[in-house]
Amino acid sequence: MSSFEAQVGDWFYTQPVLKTREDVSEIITALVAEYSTTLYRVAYSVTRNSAEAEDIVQETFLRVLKHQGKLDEIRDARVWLVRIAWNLSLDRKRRSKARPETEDIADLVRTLPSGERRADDEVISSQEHARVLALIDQLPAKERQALLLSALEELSTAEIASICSTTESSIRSRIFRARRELAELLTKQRSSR
Amino acid sequence: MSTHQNSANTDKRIDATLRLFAHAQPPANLEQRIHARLHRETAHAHANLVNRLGNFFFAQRMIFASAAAALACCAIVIGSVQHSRQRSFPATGIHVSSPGSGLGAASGTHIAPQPVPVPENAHSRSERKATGGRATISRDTHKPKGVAVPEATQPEKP
Repeated sequence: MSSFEAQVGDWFYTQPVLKTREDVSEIITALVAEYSTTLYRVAYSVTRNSAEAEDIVQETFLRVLKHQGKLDEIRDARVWLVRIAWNLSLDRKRRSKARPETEDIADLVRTLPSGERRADDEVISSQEHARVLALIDQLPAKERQALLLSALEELSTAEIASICSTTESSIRSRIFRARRELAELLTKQRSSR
Repeated sequence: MSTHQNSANTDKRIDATLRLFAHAQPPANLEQRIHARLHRETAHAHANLVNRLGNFFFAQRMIFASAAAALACCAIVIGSVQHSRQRSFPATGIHVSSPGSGLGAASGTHIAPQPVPVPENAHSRSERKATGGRATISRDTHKPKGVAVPEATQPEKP
């Protein structure tokens, strides 16, 4: 094959093909099946409320539906979706700041399957979790985002870096700083009690 | 408790809390609910689009009707102006109406096909004579029937 033919072939291959409604529906169905749990966890890590997290996941896929024309341009669907879910979660959190989260965390600890809990976790009460979460909320926004996203096993450091629009090394240092500050705050809190 | 132990304990607490998010399970049938909502929103958006199109065309209809009316008015005015410019007015004086034009039926001068003979008494059919400032009509004047003509009276002498 000549280079011209190869170029023409490449051009046809890379041109976005107009998708029918069925195509879009299939793509969205696949995205829902693959990423809904991850998005739920992302949303839950910010809102700490099950109903709100579910609503955010639904909202995220509505955004996908709204911008279905961009589906061809998306290189990493996971990064794109997590970024949408994260921004929606922050908006939601800002709007409902007055709501107490302790009960939701207690519910989560209670309902979490025992197979997914470690023996160490059993001794940490839901009040203890709530205390740590309250301290996480005191961290600077960038550090907090890196720390919470790093908690999700589905996301690699490179993906977190893409979500935060920064480099991997920057993410690593943010996580390190976040953990150090959190440890200091916890120590300070313990010594004051 | 040593500092090292404290630090390990703190890390353990942080990890345990972060693990809550890592293992958080979405409520049952989340996917079905997402699909249901997407379906509902799509139907709603479609209905909205139809409504918006309807409103758009209603507004457009009014504009088009107004524009058409204005255009018709312009056409009428221009047409009448054009028409009045194209009409050829005959010169003042004798108006000779062209036969079959349909114009000037009342004012048209009918040219007799042969010379009209002069009447014997060389008078017109009715002759008015001013007598003492009063209009009189002679007795032998041919008058149409049913018209009462008062008798001419002689002016009184002072």
